[in-house]
Amino acid sequence: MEKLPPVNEIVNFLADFDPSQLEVIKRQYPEQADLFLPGMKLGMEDAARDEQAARVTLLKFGLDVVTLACAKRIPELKKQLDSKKGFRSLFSSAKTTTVLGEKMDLRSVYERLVSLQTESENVLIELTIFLSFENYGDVRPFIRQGNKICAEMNKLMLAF
Amino acid sequence: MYNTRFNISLNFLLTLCLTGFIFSSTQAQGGVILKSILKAAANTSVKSATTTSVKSVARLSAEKSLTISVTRTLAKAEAKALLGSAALLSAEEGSRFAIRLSEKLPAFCTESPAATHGLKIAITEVDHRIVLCSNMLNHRWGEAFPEIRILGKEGTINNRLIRRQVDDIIASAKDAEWRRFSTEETSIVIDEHLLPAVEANPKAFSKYKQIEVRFAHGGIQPVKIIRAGKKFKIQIGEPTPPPIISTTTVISEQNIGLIAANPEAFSQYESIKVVLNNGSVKPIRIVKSNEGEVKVWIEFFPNQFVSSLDIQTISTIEIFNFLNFSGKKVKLGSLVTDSRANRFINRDLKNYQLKFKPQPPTNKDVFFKNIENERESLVFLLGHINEKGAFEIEDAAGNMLFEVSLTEISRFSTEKGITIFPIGCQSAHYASAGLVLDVKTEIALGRLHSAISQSKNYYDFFSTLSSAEMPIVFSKDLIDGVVYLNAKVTNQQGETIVSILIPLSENASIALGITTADLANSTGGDDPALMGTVLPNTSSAFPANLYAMQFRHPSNFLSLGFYKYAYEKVLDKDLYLRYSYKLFYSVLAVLFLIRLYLKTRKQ
Repeated sequence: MEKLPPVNEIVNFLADFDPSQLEVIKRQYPEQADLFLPGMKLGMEDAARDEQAARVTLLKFGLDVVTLACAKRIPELKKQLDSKKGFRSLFSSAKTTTVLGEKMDLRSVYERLVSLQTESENVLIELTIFLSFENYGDVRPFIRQGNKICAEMNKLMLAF
Repeated sequence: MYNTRFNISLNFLLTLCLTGFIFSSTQAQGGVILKSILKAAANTSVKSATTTSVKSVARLSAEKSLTISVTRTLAKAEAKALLGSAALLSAEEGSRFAIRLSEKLPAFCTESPAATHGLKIAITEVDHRIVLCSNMLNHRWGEAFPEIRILGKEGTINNRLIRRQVDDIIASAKDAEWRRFSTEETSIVIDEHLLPAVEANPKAFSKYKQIEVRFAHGGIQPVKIIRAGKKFKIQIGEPTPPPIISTTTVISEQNIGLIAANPEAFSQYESIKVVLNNGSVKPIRIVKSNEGEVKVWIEFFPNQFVSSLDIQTISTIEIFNFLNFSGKKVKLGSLVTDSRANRFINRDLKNYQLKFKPQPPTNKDVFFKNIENERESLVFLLGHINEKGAFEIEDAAGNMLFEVSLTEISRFSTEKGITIFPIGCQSAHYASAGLVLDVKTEIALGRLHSAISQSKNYYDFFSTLSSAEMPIVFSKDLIDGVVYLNAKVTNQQGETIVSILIPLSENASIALGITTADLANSTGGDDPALMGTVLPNTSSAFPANLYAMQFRHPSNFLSLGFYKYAYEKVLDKDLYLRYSYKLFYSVLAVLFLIRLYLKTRKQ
């Protein structure tokens, strides 16, 4: 049985922040309805070709939303960080936010968002090539990477 | 003058307070404890009296009421059967209300043996009469009563006509059950042990297009139901090559082992059912694991299965109705990194979380160490199961840390006496308990949350936990873990001499027909606080010193063994009393001082 890369975090991300996109994919792949349910499947998945196609589409949708969210959040954070420069920053500690129980300062969040935006854009470029050739042979590492990006994005978004 | 008066009053009051304190303190000492123990012992021995009759055996709770009153000497087995049928009543009806035993049940009383040898049934809900009677007949103890009285709203009706009516109801109930069953099927192969059922209810079986009977030697022969006037007769025909192809087969409880022994012989049937010894018909599911192991599961309640190897435990499951559920007993260990699942757990199941240190556990040893102390809990492990039947544990970055097979977990839980229910895709295929189908975290956690928050007893809990999309399988260990405290007596080498199963609640012990005196006798002691049964009954193997026992729930039975249980119960009461006295006298003293202060101010 071929092991398929997980997409649970991509589904979770879309379910939380852009459910309408999830509905679009559901309509596109009605036979893969289970795949688009939030949460993690607690076992092995069949490597049906259609399902792989659904995963790739899902990843594309997910990363699109990630880049959009980054594009919106990064300038906001930049503005906040800039306003804290100068006199006040000498006396006040850096502003922190809690990301799933862990404290992160705003600069770290900002840097992670920038990094995630770059990573997701890179994956999207690779995906476009795969989608144009409809060859999913080596697409699994990208799906895995996309799932990780969404997992991290999910945590950061919930912190706001 | 005033000072003298004041001193006298104060002295008097202080003496009073001191006396109160001394009195309250001595109350808590050995005398009262002993007295309370004796009282507890006396109460218990009333329940354990083996004579006489049973009154008010079961009462249906909730909005509908059902009272069964029996005035006849009942053997223990009969009482058990009665309680069993009471449990079945709610199960078969599929209704939400449960039958519970009242506090005093079964209250053995000392009515004259010459009292009416009859069964009184007071049924306010007519609809349930049939099922009740059907169950009575299934257990075959109802037949022992020469007379049955039905207490209707208009009063007692007591004549032979009623007996006949009840007979008709019984007949029609069985007939109805078979008819309901038969309408689903067009052809059937039955086990030879079920031929008497066909003979008893040929009318019900006449609905089938084809009926065949399977004999012990493996041969299958057709059965014909012939109408002879107003009656029906059955006739077994000659084997007809080629064999008739049936879509359904029914097997008796005693022959259920044949399925696992020769699954190919049963693979042709779309539907396989088992007729249990109590007469109920249950569907069967056969599954083959990746290792080629054949598992036969019986669906005893909708979406709840038990392995055919544990078929005897079905009667134990029936007492789930009597076991109050407490969420405190549930622990959920998450072995997944899914952000949404962990958010759900942190938000809605936080109080039930089994926190691994570190989270997730880094290796197998850490994993087992984290759960080895959960002997008092019903542990749910949520994890991703791979093709080898093992939980895969990954770190937050998605790197594989280690894997632990469900077989290893089962072995560990049996050795350590921990009740574990693995939640993962098809976990029941690899372990003795778990899930039948694939599942996602969202669904599994949602069901667990509903089950914990909505359930009053274990029947509710497992009914809510299971669903068509998440059917579950019970194992004997799981059922025992829910119903009993599992204790072992070990020798100095750590070898188990005897296992003791102690019902977790008094209601459970009553439902199981177990009395404390029975246990005290079978264990060779005379401790009335001992509730449970001894398996096997090797009382001579018990050491004289009860401290040598090891218990599954050490916090309950740590150093004092069985006795601590009684002491704890009594001590709680005494502590309350002691502090009540102290509080009373303290308040009195404070009031007096306030009054005194006010008086002195006035002067």
